[in-house]
Amino acid sequence: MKRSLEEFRVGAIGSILDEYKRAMAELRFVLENIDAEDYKRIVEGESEHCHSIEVIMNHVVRAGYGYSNYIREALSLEVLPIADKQIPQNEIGAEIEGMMTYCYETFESDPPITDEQVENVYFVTRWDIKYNIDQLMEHAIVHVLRHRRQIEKFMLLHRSKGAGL
Amino acid sequence: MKPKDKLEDYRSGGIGALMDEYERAALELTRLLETITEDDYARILDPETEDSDCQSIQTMMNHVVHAGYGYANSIRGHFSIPHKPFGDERPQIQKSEIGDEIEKVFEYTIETLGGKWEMSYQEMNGLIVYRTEKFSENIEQLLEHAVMHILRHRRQIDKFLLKI
Repeated sequence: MKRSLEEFRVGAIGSILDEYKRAMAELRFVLENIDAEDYKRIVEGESEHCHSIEVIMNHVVRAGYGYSNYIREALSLEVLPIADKQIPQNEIGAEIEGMMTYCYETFESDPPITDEQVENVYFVTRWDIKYNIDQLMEHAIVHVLRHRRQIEKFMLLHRSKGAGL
Repeated sequence: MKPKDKLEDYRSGGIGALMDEYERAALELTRLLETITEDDYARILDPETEDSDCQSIQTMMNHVVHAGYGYANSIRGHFSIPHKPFGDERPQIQKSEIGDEIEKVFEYTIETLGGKWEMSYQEMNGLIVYRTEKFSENIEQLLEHAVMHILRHRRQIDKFLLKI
């Protein structure tokens, strides 16, 4: 939570990055209360790419780099290859931090991305949808919200099974 | 609107997930508004702004509620569901009424999407709600924008409250 005006970033891009950071902080808070067993536990009936909290978090970090790379490619900025990492639970905080820094650096490049570019630079993603930068960042933030929600559901499920033992 | 504390509270499917997060954002905004006095709600906090929707918390909330109906009506139009266009006029919502008005626009959106929680990604992607020569918005993008619209204005209120 921000306690002074100076902590808020400036402008429309600032509001996007502030809300991205906030969504990620909420996700990290949920993760901090998950033990090693639940982090790896497979949920029956879920698709393979999202069937445990560990798999979800590998996906969230990877997707975060992917969103930044779409923007970097569209603006001819340096693009780092995305590693397909299996992230141990005790490294997830640092991995999220690294991915967010990569995003901030994307927007704070020299020269920084402008509001005009946020509205008018378009690209088509690998899932064949056209986005401008603003739409992609809204998608990126809601992606984090949706997976935080999914993890909260998984935890309710794990606890209900534990209570039934 | 209510917080989720058991599995049965969650909606199913991709649209259901988006509506759950819309509800969470709307609830959070409502709770923040409950902490604000009537004077602060109506106080002009940004007289310099060129955007008349962003002068005070009240004008911002008039805009948020109006926009929420606009998003739902875009979807209703696509599915040929009857709806009343809201035009450009912003009804002035009093502090005492804002919680109910947010609840109403959320319920209006739920009625709009009822039975569509499990729409596939292919269906969502193909359902273009808004298109111009350059810009296009499918139903997933529209709902993501609707969630973010609330979050961005909640952040703006957080900033306003630090100025008071």
